[in-house]
Amino acid sequence: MLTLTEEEKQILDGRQGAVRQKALELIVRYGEVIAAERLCRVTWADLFCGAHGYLQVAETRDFDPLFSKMSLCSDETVSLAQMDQGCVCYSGVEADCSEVPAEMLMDADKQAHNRDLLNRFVDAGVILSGNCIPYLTGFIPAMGEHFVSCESSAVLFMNSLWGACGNGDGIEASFCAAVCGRTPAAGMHLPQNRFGTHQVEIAAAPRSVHDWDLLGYSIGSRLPAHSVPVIVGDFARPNTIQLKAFFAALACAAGTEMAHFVGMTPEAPTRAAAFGGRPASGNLRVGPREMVATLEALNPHPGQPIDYVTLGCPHYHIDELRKIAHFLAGRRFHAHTRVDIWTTGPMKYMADRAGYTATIEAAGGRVLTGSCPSTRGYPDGVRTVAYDSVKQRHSAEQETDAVKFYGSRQVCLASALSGRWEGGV
Amino acid sequence: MNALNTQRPRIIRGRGALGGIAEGPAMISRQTITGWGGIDIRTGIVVEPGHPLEGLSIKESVLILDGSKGSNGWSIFFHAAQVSGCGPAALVFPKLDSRTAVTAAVLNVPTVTDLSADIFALVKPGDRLRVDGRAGTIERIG
Repeated sequence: MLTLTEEEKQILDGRQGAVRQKALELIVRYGEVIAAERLCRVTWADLFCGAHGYLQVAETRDFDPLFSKMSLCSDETVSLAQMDQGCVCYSGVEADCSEVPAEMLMDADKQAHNRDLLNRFVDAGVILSGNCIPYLTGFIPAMGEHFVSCESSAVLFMNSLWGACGNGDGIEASFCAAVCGRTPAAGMHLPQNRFGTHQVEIAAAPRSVHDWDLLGYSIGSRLPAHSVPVIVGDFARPNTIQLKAFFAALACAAGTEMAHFVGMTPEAPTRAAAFGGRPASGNLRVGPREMVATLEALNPHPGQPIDYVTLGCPHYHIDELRKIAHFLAGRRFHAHTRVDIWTTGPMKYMADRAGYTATIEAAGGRVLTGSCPSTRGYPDGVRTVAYDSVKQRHSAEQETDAVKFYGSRQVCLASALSGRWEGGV
Repeated sequence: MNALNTQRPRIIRGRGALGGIAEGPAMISRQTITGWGGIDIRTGIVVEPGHPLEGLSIKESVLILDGSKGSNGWSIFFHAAQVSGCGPAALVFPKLDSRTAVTAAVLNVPTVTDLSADIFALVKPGDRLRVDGRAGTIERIG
């Protein structure tokens, strides 16, 4: 039985306006479905703003009917003025890259529509973040604070490394939470649901971002639904950039919202604390054999010329751009291979100042911000693509008919230089 | 009705998560669908390569899946299909997670969860079902 506070009852009655009322109606319905007993206060919301492809089904371009139907799930059109005043709102990944207009795939009409929609969100108080790594760009819910995010990897990252509380939810529920400042107190918002359920032993020695990326997918594709893994093993402590890849891979393969690294996760000072004193309901062991099998399954094709290399999923950290620039200095990509490197505005600003962008552009590549092939689509005529991210490789299965290759960043860069896939199968 | 059907219980019970009564053919898979990009939002047809339901439409079906996977953009693809007139009639999830719960709330169709029996062993694709989202029952009617 869901109990509402007096203020929540006021919102639901419409006394704080029609938009907050519609938003809370969806949140209350969500709370009833998931059998929540109360709502919790949301103070950070990472959204998914702009003219994303799925909005085409609404057959309207106007902000208010579009937002009402697709985000508030309301057939009645209401007008958005402000997001909840107690909630910091980010706009999330964009429908196309932020470099307007020369690098965009969208036609001029769609670009204008996208800008119109984004401007309304800016007017409502949303920060144009333009990235899938909010946790690296100032979106910092602290331990015990409740957030929503449309990025599965960000939810897993912030639950697991910071002890902040968030669920996967969905795009509509995130918008509604940001408008009314509430979400059901369920799932990862409740301490008792955050304990580990399965022990996962890493029987390997992961050292690189690629190792952790591959491990995340190898674990995720073997993990039961709804589990909270506790990662154990005799491995070197991963850094935040390696964990960015690991969490993205794990979330995309298994839908995992929370994982414990003993000694790193705030709620896991010990293995026993991670499990909340309860026994593990399952054990998994992942080592080199599983990792090789995963790599082989993702690379079913023999090597061939590479048309397109897309790097930066999740969006690259400045240190990743630095490493690429350092490697590339003086080298040049193959004339027939297009190279896009994805990051976010603040990282590109730093890369511009340090000269990394110029080095990458001198090699024939591009540093793009805000988007990725999953949200903007692929350039025309691309028949073969190389990825350094298992998440991007995984998503591409439904997004392009091109022949796909997956390997480390080094392998992808080497392939971009030679124009042929340089990885093993 | 063959011998197998007569041996299967006609009613499966669970928790009614979202009220209303709806009927439709079972679209059932232990392997969940990737929401983001896994459904054609204009037709409701499952387009995830290699998925057991690939090529079939969720339109007016009783959709029975074991959880969600992939992007947090899970509900929006089912929602977009519904806006196109191709949404499911009812939803059944053996156990809810945040993404499937949001999908039920967004679609606002009869939903049953916390099932008392293994529905994947009891319901076959295409079985005609009646879902009562208040009583929490799934009844095989043909």
